[in-house]
Amino acid sequence: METYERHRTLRFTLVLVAMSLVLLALMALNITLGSVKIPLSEIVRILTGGSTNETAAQILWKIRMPRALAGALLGAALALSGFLLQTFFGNPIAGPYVLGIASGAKLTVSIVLVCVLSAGRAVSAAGLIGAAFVGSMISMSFVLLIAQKVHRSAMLVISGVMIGYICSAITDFIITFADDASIVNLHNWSKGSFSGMSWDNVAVIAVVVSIASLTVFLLSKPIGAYRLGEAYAQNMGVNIRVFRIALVFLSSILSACVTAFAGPISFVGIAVPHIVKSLLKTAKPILVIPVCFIGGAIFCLGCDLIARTVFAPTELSVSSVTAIFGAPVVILLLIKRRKNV
Amino acid sequence: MKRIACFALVLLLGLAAAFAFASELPADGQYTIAVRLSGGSGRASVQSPAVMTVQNGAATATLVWSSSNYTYMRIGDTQYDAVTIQPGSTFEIPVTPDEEISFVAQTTAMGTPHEIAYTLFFDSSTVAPFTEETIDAVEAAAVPDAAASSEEEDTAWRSQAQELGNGWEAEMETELVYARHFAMYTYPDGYQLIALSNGSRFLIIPEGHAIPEGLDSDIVTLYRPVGNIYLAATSAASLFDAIGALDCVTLSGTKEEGWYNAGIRAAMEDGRILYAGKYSAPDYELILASGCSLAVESLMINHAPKVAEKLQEFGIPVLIDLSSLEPHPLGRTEWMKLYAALTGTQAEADRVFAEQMACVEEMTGSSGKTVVFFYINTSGNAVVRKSGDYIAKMIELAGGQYIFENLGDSTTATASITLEMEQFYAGAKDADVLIYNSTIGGEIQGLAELLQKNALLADFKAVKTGDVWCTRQNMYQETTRLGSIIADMRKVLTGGDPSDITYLFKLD
Repeated sequence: METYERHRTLRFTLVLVAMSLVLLALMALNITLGSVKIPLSEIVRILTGGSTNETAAQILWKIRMPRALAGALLGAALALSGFLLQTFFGNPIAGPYVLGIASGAKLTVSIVLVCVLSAGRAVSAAGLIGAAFVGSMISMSFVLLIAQKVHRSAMLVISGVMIGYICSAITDFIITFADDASIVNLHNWSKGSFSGMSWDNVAVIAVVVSIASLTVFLLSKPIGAYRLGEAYAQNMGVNIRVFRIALVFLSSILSACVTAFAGPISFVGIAVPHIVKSLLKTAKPILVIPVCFIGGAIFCLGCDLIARTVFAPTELSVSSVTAIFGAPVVILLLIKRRKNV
Repeated sequence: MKRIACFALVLLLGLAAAFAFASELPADGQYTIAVRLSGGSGRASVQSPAVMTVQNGAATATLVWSSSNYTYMRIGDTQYDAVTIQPGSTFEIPVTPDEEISFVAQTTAMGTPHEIAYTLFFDSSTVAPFTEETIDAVEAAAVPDAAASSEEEDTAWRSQAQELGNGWEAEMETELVYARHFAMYTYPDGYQLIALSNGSRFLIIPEGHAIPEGLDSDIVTLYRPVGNIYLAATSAASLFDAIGALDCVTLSGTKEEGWYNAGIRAAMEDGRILYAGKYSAPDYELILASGCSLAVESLMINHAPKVAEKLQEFGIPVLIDLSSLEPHPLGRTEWMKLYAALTGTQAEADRVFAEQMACVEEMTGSSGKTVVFFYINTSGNAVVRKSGDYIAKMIELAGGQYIFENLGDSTTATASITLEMEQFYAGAKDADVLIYNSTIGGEIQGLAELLQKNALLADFKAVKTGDVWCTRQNMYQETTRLGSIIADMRKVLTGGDPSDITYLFKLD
């Protein structure tokens, strides 16, 4: 038993260090690569404050850096959100958007795009972010209300899916009265992108994701107990009602933050926890949570690098890239797990 | 034989008398006559029917406007001052029935007096004696229409726009014939202000001059000629090309294959213009590295505010092309004057615009044909233009009548409306001419392809008579050629030679 624990800790340490190095390397690549070639030596000079090339400095500080940081933080948020819901529902395909978060956000964004803009009024970027966040929170509030009445996790999943359907139906209803421009732009928004991130955005994202992630990490022990069954967790002193609400709330806040700033990004929340669990060969929350955080950041940074550089200056939808890489990984892992069983 | 000759003589005399009666004014007295006003932004209106007085063989009409701010009307060289301003500005003007009467009217509601071009048409077939019964109807019509409000409300932004904040006074306002969503003012030393109806203001600094001090903080300064433009408004490309200012554009928001304009396609092929990502996902790095000094965006940028804010963060001003809001088709074309002010090609813009105006002015008289402009979307519904849209206006200018009257809410910014097939069938079945809009779904090659979209179209009068046309896909990018496109529509409506028609083709 002691050997197993030591082996697990060693594996965790190795994975954590390796992934941290990969994350640093990807951050460096995201800052170095782009449609405009900036020599590495110039990048070093810019970072150390010794550069006189103002354009290159602006590209680095105002475009690449905030985008890379936002991508990493939002990727981490998605992975954690997915892990929480997979644990909560005991369902390997539960993802951050299973509770209708994205549909709620899309509904409010469509209302803003169609109603406000068709009346000839302008809306700011903060307005759209706010609308998406409010939509996500409305969906989450409904799920929380239902969570208080319903005790079976399966019923909660169904409720979330139904809320998603209702929001989508209302969105389609609104689109019926929209002009082509609003439809095209709503479609663009729903594909997700880290483009155009500012330092103000990064500051808000950092605060929300840090607080939520830290809280999730502090909840590692009750999450571990909950994985062994509700009765066990109750015997361990976990207040199940409060714990369930906290889990749904934290997961929703994390995915709402992503949706608000980057639009819905698929598959990160489903794929990353599976990959991390396979690498660690354990599902122990206290080990999985920090690696999930780094894993989500790596996954999104890698996909965003591909999305913006492969066909530059045309930018691919980051959600398409995450789905292309995430879906096969999940299928492979599930097949592998089946074989092992 | 004698009887036949007498009968023919009587018939001839009868016809001559009828013709003479029809072309002459009625006997002295007071009458009512229907009057139609067109031009301007389309929001101002006049009382109809108007009271017409015939005296000694000359007719005058009492014309009552929906606004009290019109001070004079000028027809030809004669100016007519308002006789009263209650309930609306009222004028006594001569009447020539059944002819388009072009005139300008001055309104003072925008602070400084402003002239607007209009056309009046008095319909002689509606002349009726002015009786007690008609007085009530005329008085009811005389109440200014609060909903229509009149166009001075739309152009009230002009009065504030020309105050730069440094005490300078405008020496001249550039005369715009149709455009209502921008204004240009010239100040001492050739400084020029461009003001847009969305509140944006751009001060163009002439060569060799410095930015004046004390300007209002919202004013964006640009040095003429403005180069390194990122052009993400497709409709503006043909305007730049027409005035010979494509050299000022170095970045495009549309890929080479997305352009129909030969000039910009060639420039992209040569590498003089680079693709820098579409309006919603621009390549910020490329834009910044190329030293872009201005981003010209379409109204679509309002849906992606993050992009506009990011560009401004880099110090790149964003000019939103509002030409699609212009109610008159030539108002869109007139936006070339704005781009000419930026690039220093005013003379060329004046010449090209005059050519397009001439195309429209040559056309007179109605063809009497009703027209539908539509496409079938992927859901099988018909998408038609609203009655107040510029396409409907183009059809009207070409001598046709857009078949859908009062369709769509004029207060919203959308241009088209989706009709369920039942409603489209009822409204468009008897139209004389169908024009299929290829902008979204692409060009269709024949009637068979059209009928594949919906077999019900076979019942339509125009399909039966073979009067079905399709627009070329380049039409919506050819903002410079709207006059020529109207001329093409005219040929369609009057049976012109199809081989002379450029922007439409007949479906066989």
